[in-house]
Amino acid sequence: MSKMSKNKLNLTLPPGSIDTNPAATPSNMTPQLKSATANDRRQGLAGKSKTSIEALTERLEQIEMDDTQRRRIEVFLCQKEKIGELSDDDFEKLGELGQGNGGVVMKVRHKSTGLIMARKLIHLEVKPAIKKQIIRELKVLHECNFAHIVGFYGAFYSDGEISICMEYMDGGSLDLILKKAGRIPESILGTITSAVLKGLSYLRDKHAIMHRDVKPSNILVNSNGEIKICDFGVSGQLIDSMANSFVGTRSYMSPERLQGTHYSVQSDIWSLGLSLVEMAIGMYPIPPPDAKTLAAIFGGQNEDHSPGQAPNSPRPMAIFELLDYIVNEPPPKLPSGIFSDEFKDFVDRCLKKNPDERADLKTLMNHEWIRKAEAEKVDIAGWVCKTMDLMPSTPNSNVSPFSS
Amino acid sequence: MDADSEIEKKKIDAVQTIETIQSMIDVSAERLEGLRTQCSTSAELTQQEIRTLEGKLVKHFSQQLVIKANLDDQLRLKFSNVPNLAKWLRVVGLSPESIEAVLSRVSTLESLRERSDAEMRLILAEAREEEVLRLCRAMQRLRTYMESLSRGDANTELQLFWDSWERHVRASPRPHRPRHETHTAHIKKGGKSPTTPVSKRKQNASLPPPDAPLIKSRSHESQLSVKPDASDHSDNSQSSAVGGGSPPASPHEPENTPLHRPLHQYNNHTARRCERCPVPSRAGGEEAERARARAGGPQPAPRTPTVSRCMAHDIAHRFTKTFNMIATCDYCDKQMLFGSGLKCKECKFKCHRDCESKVPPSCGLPPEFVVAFKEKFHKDGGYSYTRGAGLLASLTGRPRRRHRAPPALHHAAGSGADSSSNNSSCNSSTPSSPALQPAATPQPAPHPPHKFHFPEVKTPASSPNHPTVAQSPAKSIAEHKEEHTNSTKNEVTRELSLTGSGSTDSGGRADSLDKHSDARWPRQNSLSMKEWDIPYDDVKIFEVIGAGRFGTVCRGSWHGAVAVKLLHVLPLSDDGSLLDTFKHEVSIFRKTRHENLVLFMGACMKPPRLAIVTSLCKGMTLYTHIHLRKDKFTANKSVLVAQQISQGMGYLHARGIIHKDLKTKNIFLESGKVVITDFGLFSVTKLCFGNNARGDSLGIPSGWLCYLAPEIIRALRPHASLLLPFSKATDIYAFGTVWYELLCGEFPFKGQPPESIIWQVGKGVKQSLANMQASRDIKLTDADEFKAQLLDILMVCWSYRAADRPDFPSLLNTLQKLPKKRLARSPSHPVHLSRSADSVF
Repeated sequence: MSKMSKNKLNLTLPPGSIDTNPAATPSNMTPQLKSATANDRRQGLAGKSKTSIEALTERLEQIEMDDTQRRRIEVFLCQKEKIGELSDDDFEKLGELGQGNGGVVMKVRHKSTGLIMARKLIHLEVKPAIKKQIIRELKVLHECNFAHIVGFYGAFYSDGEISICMEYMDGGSLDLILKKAGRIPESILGTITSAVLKGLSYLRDKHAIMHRDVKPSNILVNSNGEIKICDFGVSGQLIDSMANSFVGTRSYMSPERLQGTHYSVQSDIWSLGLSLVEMAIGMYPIPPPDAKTLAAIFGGQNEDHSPGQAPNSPRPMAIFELLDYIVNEPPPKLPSGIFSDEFKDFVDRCLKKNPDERADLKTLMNHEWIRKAEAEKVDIAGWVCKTMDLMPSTPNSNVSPFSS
Repeated sequence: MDADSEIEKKKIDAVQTIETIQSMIDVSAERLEGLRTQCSTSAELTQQEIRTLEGKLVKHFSQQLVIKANLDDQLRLKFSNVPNLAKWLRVVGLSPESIEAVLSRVSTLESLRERSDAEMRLILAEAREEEVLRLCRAMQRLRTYMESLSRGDANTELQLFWDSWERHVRASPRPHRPRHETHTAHIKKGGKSPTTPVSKRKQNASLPPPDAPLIKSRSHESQLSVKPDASDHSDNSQSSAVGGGSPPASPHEPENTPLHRPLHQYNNHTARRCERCPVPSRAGGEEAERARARAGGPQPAPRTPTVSRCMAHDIAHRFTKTFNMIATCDYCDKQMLFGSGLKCKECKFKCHRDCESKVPPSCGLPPEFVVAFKEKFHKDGGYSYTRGAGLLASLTGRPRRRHRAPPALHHAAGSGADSSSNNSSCNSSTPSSPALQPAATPQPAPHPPHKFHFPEVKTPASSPNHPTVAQSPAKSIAEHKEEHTNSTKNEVTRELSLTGSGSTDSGGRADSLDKHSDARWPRQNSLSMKEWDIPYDDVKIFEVIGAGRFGTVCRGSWHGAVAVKLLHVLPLSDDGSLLDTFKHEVSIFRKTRHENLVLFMGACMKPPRLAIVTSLCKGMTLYTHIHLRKDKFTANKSVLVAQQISQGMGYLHARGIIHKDLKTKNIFLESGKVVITDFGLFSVTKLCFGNNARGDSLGIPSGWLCYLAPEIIRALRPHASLLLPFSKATDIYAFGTVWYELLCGEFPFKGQPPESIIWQVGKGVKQSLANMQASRDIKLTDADEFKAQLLDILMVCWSYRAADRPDFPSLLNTLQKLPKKRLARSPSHPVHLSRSADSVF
């Protein structure tokens, strides 16, 4: 098992080739990927192809992090230093931010420092050894310091629950923003995508982990205009130990993963592509909206109605039906005539059902749509604030930056 | 600021509540739609489910209306489309055209609510009569519930359903029966006197009087028509008019109602008929009178409850022999000797066998009234015991039905033909079973249907309409029922009748029935359940020994060590239905006695303290053995365990109980002996758990999916559903997974995300067995033949098609035939089976 992962990591560039391991059979590869901790991978990476990777990542970091971003990370690390080990007593509840997969996310104040954090609580009833293992696996998060990765303060176990304390992002997650905004403009999406791609590259190149759960609710923004990803699968043990998982009306899982076959970072690309379509048209694109629905969304330009909850949406599909649609029906795409050709092309490249045909991270980062987005300075901060401003009091107002 | 934020908070609460309710509406509406369109609405189960949903939806919509009415203008504007009128109309059961028609005239549910029935009729001028009636009825229900909400007594039990399934197309004709339209028509009219109250049941008091008599009355009848339980007693005039009891089994008659069908079916039928083609009531009335006269009834009792001579209490006891009782006869106050007495299962009234015939039908009457009742009863002439039990008497004597007799009810003692009703059989029928005689038992009809020729069903003139103290002539009624069931519902579960159906039932069906009965007659339940009701305070509760998704399991003490499962009752949950489901589960539990099943001891049934008390399993669960301790099970030991599981499960299935949640966490190993727990609890767990689910996603406990058969997997919906198609075959599939765990020491599809499992299982992809040897050093490698056999068992249990899966007896057989040394087998299996059969027949 570990031999295989080392082999794979050896390939390093281009990243898309990580998954090409013909010998791997589906049934035993999957658990392997799950349980392969970042640690193993990192060691493999460091040992085998240190120089090229380090050079790459250093260069990446030089390019991808500007001074502001570096300073912010320094500030964050400084604050974190003052905190030390966390425990249940250190926090004061401020409100609920939302439901993550398998747990609730609370907005809390760290009493002694006054720092506002997001605390994710995952209910677990496991043996102490497992607890320790999970906490240990989560420690990898301490090393994930990057402009597009949500900062990590620490994790601890108390009272049957694992707490993961993270940087608080006052803009909330993109699915919440999507609910308020209805749709997210293409220019904003370009910048967001660029950030997500950088984040994913960072995780893979620096820590040899794949995200496994890219979706709008795992992309966070704040009023500084920062875009960060969170909730990536660092701890295989945590995933295995979770008592409940939630399966809903939306699935961002790639066809190959649904089929139980071997999957790789390419799987994240699918999820990203699907998320982009959803955010661009304002509704989950499976099954694809018909012309009438699209006309309703884009024709009237009635901005005030959230298409997220289409008023006359058909009766929801059974979960299996939805998943089978993903596996067997043509992939979703952006409607024509509304978005730029580059955007459409970008999405199409992400949403190839065959992972080998799907573009890899590197290709996408060099995609014209991304380059265009990076060239154009988009005011994410302004957009975030404006979007949140539009809906000052809603049931979910405790997520908005104004409630604190 | 504080005040502001307080208001703000309230606002948010209200908004959230509205949204929560909306999502519940969506779920329920979808289910309702599914039931109407995808299920056979002639099945009683379906009807009961529909009613439950209708009631629920009325509540939800009412709640939204009430909350919305209290919102400030701005918010109200935001929720202008809440509650959604179109949705409501769909829920009501209107056709798209009719919905269109309504929507074109009315924009909100609030304004529709203001319309009178006549106005609605006008709006729906184009629509079928049935739709108009449905709408009127549904609106009536909505108003009723809103009134009760505004009175603050929303918890009183109201009938909020309106029976929205299509009834005009009926299958299952009974070809041999003559058609007697006239009778049907007139009886119906007779029964349908405008003053007929909605019902004579308890909640009557709280029901506002019907404001639209005609429609009301119709709607009532149509409830009757499809509500067999209710129809037994709810309409006095009807029953007294002809004196037949309707076998509730076949609520849906074919268009041609045969003459010889017992009364209620006539009523029902005609009621329905009337909806479509109202018959001039006059003529109908005359006919009714004639019929009555023919039937021997001296006075037509067109409007009812002619109640009275007997203090309006008419509930027959349900006596069983007692053998261990030395007590005083409650009737004659004399000592009863060992073995000579009878005791009512329900109210514990005791008497000599000789006194039995003189005991008035005072079941459930507080002791202080019994004497007075007795006197009055006998003074009034009582009723002639020789007359024997009529249909209705039997009905009242039947388990679970008899308490339903509304106090004011008068039944005619029915046809003499039944007077022979068979006491001994009654005694042996399980007394407190939830037993849906009606629903069960397709069997070759024992008698030709003509037996119930209408004229034979007479209303004895002189009788004050008391049924005799029939000792639960369950059998006779069951026979009647069988006939009718037969003809209409041949498809119903054959195995039920084979295995002693009477007292057992598959969870689902019993469930819904019970739900209804319980909701309407709580008192009855508390009586019949009495002996299983353990006061919460009597149970000492010690440390927590486990937690399931339904609640916590504690070690406890109640006359010895017990396990107490405390159910989480969440504030959000609909207490009523939770309690009903719970009671139903309890009624299932108490009938199970098998070496490989946990022993049920009782339950605490006072919400919010719901708990189930069982014997304490001493060992560890298979789950603990396999997954936590990683204990190795040799193939031999696995086979032994599997055999015992098959025995226990075979017993459950023979009793018509579907486990629904068979998994290694529910199987204990007590020094080699398998004890299966938590059977039939799934509905409760689902109810609790359902509230745990987030708006648009289904919570999936770890390790749950791989026990679910493809047909269940494919039915999973984002909202927790109570309607998953569990069956005996799905239990077999789950057994397959247990077997896999035993052999391989891990879950199938280990480490895969739920979505992957759902797709693969739904698609028929099975866990690869290629790595079986690799994953665990089962001692199989040396005996390939043996190994292949073990795997065969697995594969056949995991068959994609439910029909291809074996049943437990044949599995057991296979397991026993496996080579290797002969395995000791538990003697309990056959013994229990035969015993259970005995007790039922």
